[in-house]
Amino acid sequence: MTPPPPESVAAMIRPTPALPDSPTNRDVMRVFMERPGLGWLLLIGLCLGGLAGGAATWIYQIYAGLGIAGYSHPIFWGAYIVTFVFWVGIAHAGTLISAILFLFRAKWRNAINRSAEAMTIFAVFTAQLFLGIHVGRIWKAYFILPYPNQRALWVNFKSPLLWDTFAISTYTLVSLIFFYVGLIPDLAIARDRTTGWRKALYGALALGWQGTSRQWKAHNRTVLHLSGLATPLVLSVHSVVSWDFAMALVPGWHATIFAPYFVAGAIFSGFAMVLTVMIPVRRIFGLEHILTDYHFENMCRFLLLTSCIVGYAYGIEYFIAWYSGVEAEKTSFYLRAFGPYWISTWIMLIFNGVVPHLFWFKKLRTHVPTIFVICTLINIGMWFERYVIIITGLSREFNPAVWGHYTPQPAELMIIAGSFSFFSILFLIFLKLFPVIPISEVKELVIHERAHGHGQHAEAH
Amino acid sequence: MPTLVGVFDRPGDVAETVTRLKGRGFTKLEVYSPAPFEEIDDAVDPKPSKVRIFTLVGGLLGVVAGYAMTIWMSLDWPIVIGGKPFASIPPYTVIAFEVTILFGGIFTLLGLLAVGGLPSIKLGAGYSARFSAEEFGLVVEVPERDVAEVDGLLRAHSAKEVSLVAS
Amino acid sequence: MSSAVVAAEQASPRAIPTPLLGACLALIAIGVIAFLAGLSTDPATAWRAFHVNYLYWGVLAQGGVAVACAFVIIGARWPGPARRIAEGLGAWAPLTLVFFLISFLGREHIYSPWLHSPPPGKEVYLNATRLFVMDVAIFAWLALLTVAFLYYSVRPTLGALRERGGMFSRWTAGWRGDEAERDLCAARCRVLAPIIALSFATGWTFIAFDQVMSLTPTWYSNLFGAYFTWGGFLSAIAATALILVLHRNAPGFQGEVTKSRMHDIGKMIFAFSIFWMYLFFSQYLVIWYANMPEETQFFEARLGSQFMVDKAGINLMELARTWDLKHFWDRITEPYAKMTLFVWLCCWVIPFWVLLGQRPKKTPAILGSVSLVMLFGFWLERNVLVWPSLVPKDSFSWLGPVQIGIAGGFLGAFVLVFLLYTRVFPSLAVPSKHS
Repeated sequence: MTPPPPESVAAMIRPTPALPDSPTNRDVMRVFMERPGLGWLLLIGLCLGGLAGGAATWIYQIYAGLGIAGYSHPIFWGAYIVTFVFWVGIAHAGTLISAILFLFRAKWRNAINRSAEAMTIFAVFTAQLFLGIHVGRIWKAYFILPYPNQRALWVNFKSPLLWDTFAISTYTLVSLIFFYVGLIPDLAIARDRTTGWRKALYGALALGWQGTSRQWKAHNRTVLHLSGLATPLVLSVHSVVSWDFAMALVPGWHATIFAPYFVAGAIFSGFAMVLTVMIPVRRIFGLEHILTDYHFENMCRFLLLTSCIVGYAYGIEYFIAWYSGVEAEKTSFYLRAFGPYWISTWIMLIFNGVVPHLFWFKKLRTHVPTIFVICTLINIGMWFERYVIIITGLSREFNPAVWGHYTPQPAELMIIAGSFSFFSILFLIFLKLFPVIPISEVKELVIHERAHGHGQHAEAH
Repeated sequence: MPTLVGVFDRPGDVAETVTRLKGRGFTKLEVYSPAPFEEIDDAVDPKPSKVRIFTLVGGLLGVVAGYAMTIWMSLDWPIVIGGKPFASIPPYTVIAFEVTILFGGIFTLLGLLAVGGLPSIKLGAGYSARFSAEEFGLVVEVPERDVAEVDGLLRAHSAKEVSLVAS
Repeated sequence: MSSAVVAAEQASPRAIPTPLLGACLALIAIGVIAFLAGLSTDPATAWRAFHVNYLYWGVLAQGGVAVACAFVIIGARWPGPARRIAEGLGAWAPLTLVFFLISFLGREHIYSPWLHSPPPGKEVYLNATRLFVMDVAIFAWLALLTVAFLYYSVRPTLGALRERGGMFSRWTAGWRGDEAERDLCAARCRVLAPIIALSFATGWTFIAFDQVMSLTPTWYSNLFGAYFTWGGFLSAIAATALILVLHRNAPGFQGEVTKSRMHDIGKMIFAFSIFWMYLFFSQYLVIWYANMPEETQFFEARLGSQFMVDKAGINLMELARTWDLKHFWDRITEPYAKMTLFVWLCCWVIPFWVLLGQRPKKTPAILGSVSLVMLFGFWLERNVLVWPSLVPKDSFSWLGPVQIGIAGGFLGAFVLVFLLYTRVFPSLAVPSKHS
């Protein structure tokens, strides 16, 4: 450590050399910086069409009334509520992957967590649409909020629907915060490497992040705490959704197991949706080296686990309905399987409770096309699960004289198609605007491996 | 004071250099890193981040606000609903819980902004885009007479290059 | 992955410290005497205490196996000796079948609410023959799986002892060489682990329905089985944490009970106790809300009416008082209610507030004490699940010389089995330091 001669100190003042970049940056930046391809444009065009159809139908429904949605006595919760629960369920995977797997230090999550978080937020947005669509008189939707008014009336805090308001809005906000906090370092990366409007956008959103040790320390803490907050939040949100049903006395709804059962179902459907979306995305953008088969296999294991929990709940529900000796319960569960909605029930039982067991075989859970097919079936099955719970419950209540029948109407199908378009549009825009892989998290592993070699880094798992 | 910027490849080297620099009394230093590394963060400042206080305060505030809001609003205009007490703790627990998480989350974000000094309009003098690639930057303010010594110290700890930023 | 854990361990049989052995034997003797004395004076109390204790230790032991299986399933490397300790708890699990057969002798006293006059319509399910056949099948199946899992899990570490004869040679029969054994046994464990996890959850769900829920034969809750089983899983984690902490200075384990290990297990206790409370709340809220007599009876018997909606109809004053916090404590008339509140304190409030920060989780004394408190809390919880159904409105039904004696006997027997399995038959292999 000999001090350099003074002239070399002067020589040190020189411009920073040309910008070196890292392969990880380039790989991920390419996905959202490249001009949208024909496929992307076609897809977004298609989705815009679907969205327009859904929006037009909704406007017509506001004009014509909820009668066109097939609502009639005794069934006033139809496909809109089914789809609402479906989308809320989808929204659970993102936070689960980000928060719970973060707490359990499962490093494999970092290849998927960004897109899963994005899906969470978009799914919650989509779900919230259905609350508006379902209420009919949308211009009175704000009644659900506790706001001071001259009648001095407050909302009914004992209503599960109000718990839902709090749960869903909290979930939306906290998921957004979680998503955004994770995004900040990556936005700084993008800010340093873009020009024009993108630089302005990323610069503003990055809030002047520089990655100082103080910032990273605060950031780590923030992610840890948000994970700690989001984990019970995930459980609570779908529990509250389940209580929308379980608090009522309707046979088939009033069950103590509903909360954990819905949560497991939500995680199950959410993971299936993440895979359904990520398999094509990986293919199109060539992300095979970041989002490997190993990640998919782990997700499939998770699907298997949650499928077991869901299957357990199906079984226990039937058992207790029989054991309870309550006539209405017994009838309700008998009619599920052998009544007018038997097709939906068997779709739900087979797609959610049986098909995922194919993942016991390593061959099948590492074969990407098979995963895609099974996940699609699970998505369908989970939609039908909510359909079965809601519709069979309402259509067969206590008194056979007021039993009824319901079939989804074209208007509802249009709006549901529109909701899928809405979700897809948001996701497609996300793909072209933000890094779909958390760059700094991947980099952490890359640098770690470079510094310590491959052997030791595994110990961090 | 002149500011030196050392560029490093490995987080371990940075952490070691920081410890050495701090040992020599050069405490006005800053590390830019492309990803979080505990060894560096702890070398710069071993104290846990203050964010935790924000979360705790937010959470406690939330639980109080949740119960207070529900109980007060139900008693403000008492209506019997479903034969339940006006101030029914079990269902209000659900709302209090959600508000706890909500406040906790918002306060945690505020904590990040406050502790991390965000948002900031100007980036640091020593900051460079390469530190959002895969290199580490160690920026240290040193008195004129110590420039040579610190330069040597940085290089001795495998700094790839050292440059002087006038400030 | 698990092979890496096994590779770093060596079995070495150790003697059990004499004072500990003496204490265990004394406790067992007290237990036997108390049980026999109870049988001659008050057989109902003796049998019911026996039932509670066998359930508590049975689900805890099986939970221990499930914890080890969970480690295998997720391929966790951090547990180290914690996995062995959890497995060690499982040595008791096969004995549960024996204890069930014994407890069945006392069925007149245990299943008295329905044995001779089940509620109409429930005769098919609530009869002694069905219960015997089904529960024996469940316990036998779980015992079989447990023995198989323990066998394959421990086998590789016993390689060096295979010349010793006795159990050692039997467990290492057909030795294929260290490397091959490690891989083969790890593969077998990976196959068995998910099967055991599923069987544990489903099997104990039905044990809980049959032997706890049925004691209030008109009550039903479809979450109850999961709630009970989760309590067993959580108590197994608490027991693992406690034993891990106690081993921090044991010969061969110095430096193994690291801060990060305690932190991880502390996080598990913290998170899972919240989940336990959540499961409780999920049952409670649904039943509170609907307020139907056949559902509320279970909670009424354990918490009293102020935790349910008072039957006051629309009487405003009564309604306002239901959750009037000022007189809350005075209004607890149900004798069992304070016990239930104490269970919450032990199993949720204390773990939550004490283990909230990072430092307490990493402090052996704090982590150990919290685990001990939780283990006691769960023992109390098993009591409060069983006794009020059998002896309503008598908060001292569970407390008495006979009951405490039997509990002590079970404690002694459990600790002895654990020590024998982990030390004399050295399943708690000493980690080799070169790893």
